[in-house]
Amino acid sequence: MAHLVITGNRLRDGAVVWRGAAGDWSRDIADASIHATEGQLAASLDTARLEEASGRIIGVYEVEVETRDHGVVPARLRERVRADGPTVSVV
Amino acid sequence: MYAYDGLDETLVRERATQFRGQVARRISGELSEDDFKPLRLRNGLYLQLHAYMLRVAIPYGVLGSDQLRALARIARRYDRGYGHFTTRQNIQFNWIRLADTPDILDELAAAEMHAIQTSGNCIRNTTTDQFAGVAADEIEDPRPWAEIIRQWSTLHPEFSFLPRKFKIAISGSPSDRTAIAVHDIGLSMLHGPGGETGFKVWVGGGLGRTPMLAEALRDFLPGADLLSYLEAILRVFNIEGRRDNLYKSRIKILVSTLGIDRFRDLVEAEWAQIRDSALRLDEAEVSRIRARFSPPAYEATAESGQFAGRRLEDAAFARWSAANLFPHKQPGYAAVTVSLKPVGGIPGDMAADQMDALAGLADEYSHGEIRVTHRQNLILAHVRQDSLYDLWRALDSLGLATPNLMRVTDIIACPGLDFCGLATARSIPVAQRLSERLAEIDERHDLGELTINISGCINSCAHHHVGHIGILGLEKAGAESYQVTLGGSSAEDASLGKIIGRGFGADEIVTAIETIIVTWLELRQDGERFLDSLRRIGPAPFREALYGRE
Repeated sequence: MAHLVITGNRLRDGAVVWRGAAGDWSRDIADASIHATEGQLAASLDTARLEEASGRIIGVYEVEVETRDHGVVPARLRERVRADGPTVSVV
Repeated sequence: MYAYDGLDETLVRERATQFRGQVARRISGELSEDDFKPLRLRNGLYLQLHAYMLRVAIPYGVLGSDQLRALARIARRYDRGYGHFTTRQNIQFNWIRLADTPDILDELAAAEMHAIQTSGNCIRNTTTDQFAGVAADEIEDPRPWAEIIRQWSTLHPEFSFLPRKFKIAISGSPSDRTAIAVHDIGLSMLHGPGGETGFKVWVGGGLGRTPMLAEALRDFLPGADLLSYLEAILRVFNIEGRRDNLYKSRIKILVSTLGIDRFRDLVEAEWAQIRDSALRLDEAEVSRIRARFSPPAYEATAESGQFAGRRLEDAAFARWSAANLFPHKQPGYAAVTVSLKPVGGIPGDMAADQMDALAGLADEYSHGEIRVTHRQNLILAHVRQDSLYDLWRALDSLGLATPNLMRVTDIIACPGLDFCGLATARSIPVAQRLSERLAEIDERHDLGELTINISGCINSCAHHHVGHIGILGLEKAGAESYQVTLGGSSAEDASLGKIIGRGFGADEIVTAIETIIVTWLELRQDGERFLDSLRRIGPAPFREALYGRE
């Protein structure tokens, strides 16, 4: 199985967050807990979705990641943009 | 311009109060996200990649200077100091916190603004010509009719849960600057048999994954019948439109499936029942609304010799004047396009400081009015010719005087994958790199009118199908891929662009577009537009230049 992390957005401000090993939600993907087995992922997703139902986090889903020299990086560009922010400088 | 009456004010304030309660219940956990999402969308609040995005309505694209200042305050206080003007003549804020939205809606209400019906399956903001009321070729000012539609469609109980969103555009001139051919309903003003003004009605246009040009539904509709006829169309759509498949739910699919003749029969049958109802517009009411759009107090002034002299003296001013001024029906005046497309910039973005400064310039030079165009630029519609040089210098100092209206660097781009949750590829960086590369070519070769539209997904928010050159960003095998279409137009000669061939990678697309333009320059005759050359010679030379003799 590909390596996966769990992500969502914070309810209050919509900020992208990543779920850590202790069930905490961090703005930094480096803090995300990496799941290497389907069993691990399913258990974490179940818990994360309970937290979603409680209302603090919205839109929970899993994201495939790769481990590179400088850390954990999402496999898809969409998730890299979510993790790092827009690739352009605003006015 | 139109001013709210008591009814509007009450409605908007009540809606803001209502949403404050909904947000509080969401944050407390009383409302689930499933319950809350349709409520926030009805107030223009989307969740995008990094934050909430609030889309604020700018009815038919007209803003007062104090309203622009209010938007600047919101940008500064609740966002990151800027806003993004859209192809629907609205503005979006990209970095909004849910908890702040009730306060933002209150501030909007205080400025006679709101975010109602900027999302959801309802009738959206009716768009119109940015030169409404000032265009010399105008048959009639379309803004009063857009306002009549706004009043009729706002919180219309029958049309709050349509099969899909619904967009109407009105053009008051034979020259179409509103893209009526790609709207659910397009209304083109014209004179009837007795000389009275009315509408040619178009239906079933749209872009997205199934682009279609609108078909003529009725050759002439008297103004008095506008609302009853619109209501008949919406009723047929509401009853017959598909709700089982998101991608087949727009009216264009219904019209295409039934055929325009059958669709017309259904509309006419419905209309026969309601034509003489309370929806019939009496002249007194139309006149009352029309009076709200009376022209400002123009000063009697002749064509300015000073303006002509300045153009001779200052080449940069002459270039801007040639590109960004539009003839005004009032002698001695001009309508000015304020470009939000600086070379290398983000199309449609404007900093709060620029908004404040432009509001001041609107007060000083243009009767306190600003308009938003569907090309993501702004307009000062009533500027004396002898003030143009001073205005240009002021705009230039603000970075708002790029002389590029309808030129190759006046690129329409959606927010794309840098912000949008639906996007499949980035559009802004492509627009930035293209404008940097093409500005110099335009300067050297005077490319004339050549539009480029870049959408970051198949939903086509940047209308890529109707760009002379269209670019659609997709994700293929995990990488961005950009598909190029040639030959689109949203003007009165509307056409849909055709795909030229296989897509290009992110590192290839700018060179591919440059190749198309360089190829065209070798084939161009007598200063013709790119679109005219393409229509004359076809796509083959461009395909060969891009792909060789495959």
